[in-house]
Amino acid sequence: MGYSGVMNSSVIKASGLTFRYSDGTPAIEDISMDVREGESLAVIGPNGAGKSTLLLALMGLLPCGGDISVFGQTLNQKSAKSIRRRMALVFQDPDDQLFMPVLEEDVAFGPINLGLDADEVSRRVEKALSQMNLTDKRQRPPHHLSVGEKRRAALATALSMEADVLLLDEPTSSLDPASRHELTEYLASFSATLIITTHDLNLAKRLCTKCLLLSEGRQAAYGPSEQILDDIELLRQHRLAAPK
Amino acid sequence: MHHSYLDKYARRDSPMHRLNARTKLLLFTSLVVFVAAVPRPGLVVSAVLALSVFTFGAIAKIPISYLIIRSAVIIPFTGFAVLSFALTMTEGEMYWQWGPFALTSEGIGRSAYLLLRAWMAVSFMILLINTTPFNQLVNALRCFRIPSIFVLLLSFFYRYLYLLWDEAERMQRARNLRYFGGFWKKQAALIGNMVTSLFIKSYERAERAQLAMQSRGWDGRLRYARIESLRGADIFTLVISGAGIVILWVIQVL
Repeated sequence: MGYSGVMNSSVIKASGLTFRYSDGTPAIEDISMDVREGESLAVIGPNGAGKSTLLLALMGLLPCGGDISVFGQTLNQKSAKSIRRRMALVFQDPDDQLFMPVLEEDVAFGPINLGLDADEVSRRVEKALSQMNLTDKRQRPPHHLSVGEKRRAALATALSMEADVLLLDEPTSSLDPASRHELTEYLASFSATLIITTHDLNLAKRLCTKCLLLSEGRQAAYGPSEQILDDIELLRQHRLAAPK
Repeated sequence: MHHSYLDKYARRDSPMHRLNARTKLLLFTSLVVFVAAVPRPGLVVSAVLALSVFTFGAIAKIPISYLIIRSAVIIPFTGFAVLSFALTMTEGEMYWQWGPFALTSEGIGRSAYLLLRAWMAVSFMILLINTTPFNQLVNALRCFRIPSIFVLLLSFFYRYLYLLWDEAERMQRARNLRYFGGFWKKQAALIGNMVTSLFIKSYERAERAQLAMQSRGWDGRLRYARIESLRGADIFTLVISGAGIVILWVIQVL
């Protein structure tokens, strides 16, 4: 996994990003960000701040106002499909992510849709399952997996895409401390660009170079992680606990 | 999750389980069609078919008790038909009569055959489901040119049935914690609210699952991994079972 390109070129750039629900309520409003090569972004904020909506918007899954470009390519209806080949999203609830009857088929779903040949699909499935330590669970239906296994399985479905950008929605929620630590260390070893929504500011501090703080759908702060995560007053104002 | 699965034994290891899903689908579907096509199987044919249920069950290491309990599912569906056959036919030797109802040898015979056929058909399907993991069964269906949208819906049904079941159980548990009895009207309203809530949750989950599919390249067209080819054991099973069904047909006709 990894991407090739000019050093420090823009990976994802968004400006004036806005999405409103059908009743006109804004979910996110006027969000701007620029994640460059070698950087990773933590999207933090209290519940209902619009973090998950932002991830869906960045994947081109919601009809948003504003501009998004991924690797210099403007995201629109035409380009969304080709852009999604370079990005993989892991949903907060693994039961949304795992929709096939058995794990192996779920992990293969993305590579098959990329149009890869059967051997390449098999190679990617093997690799993703082994990376997530799930090789022996490959024939299990998702409802036979534990919460932790489901979380890793959801990640495996994204890993098999071998994307350049990995978007993770609350990856450590409902994990026990040991599993959380393992996952954090695993994600730290990734060379892909990470965009992570989280309440877990220790995870944000460990993995992300930049932070975007959302509050009620608006951008409350954006900048280097150390600057935002060390601002205890700012975090407290937005119902967040400073990392240890 | 503690509810029993429809395919409790589907992932066991046995000669039946090792057969290709297409072989088992063809075998058991042929048997069901045979059972349905023969309105009144003779004693030999009935005995052979009933014996085959238990033989397949034994080869697949599926407990007889499980087969019998599961096949009891036919009772509510065929019960009415069996009773109406048994109590309304007037042909044959009369054992009992009351108004329009009568119990005759012909009525008992026909209802027994109906029950037997229904039991055998359901048992063959139980054997199919419990010897073939659902994903393999679904893949076998598409090999037989079943429309892909139907196959996909079937996959989702299997995947999300248990999830819905779990959600319903959790809601019921939450209700029981705060519910201390009441009139049936109140209970009916509660059940109505729970069903509505379950429907909305399912709808929202379906939307999120669609987004998850789109994010992994789904564009409305189904693409599949390769299908396993038939092995010698599959060909052997198909030839032997095909010959067996033909012989049973000949015995029945003669």
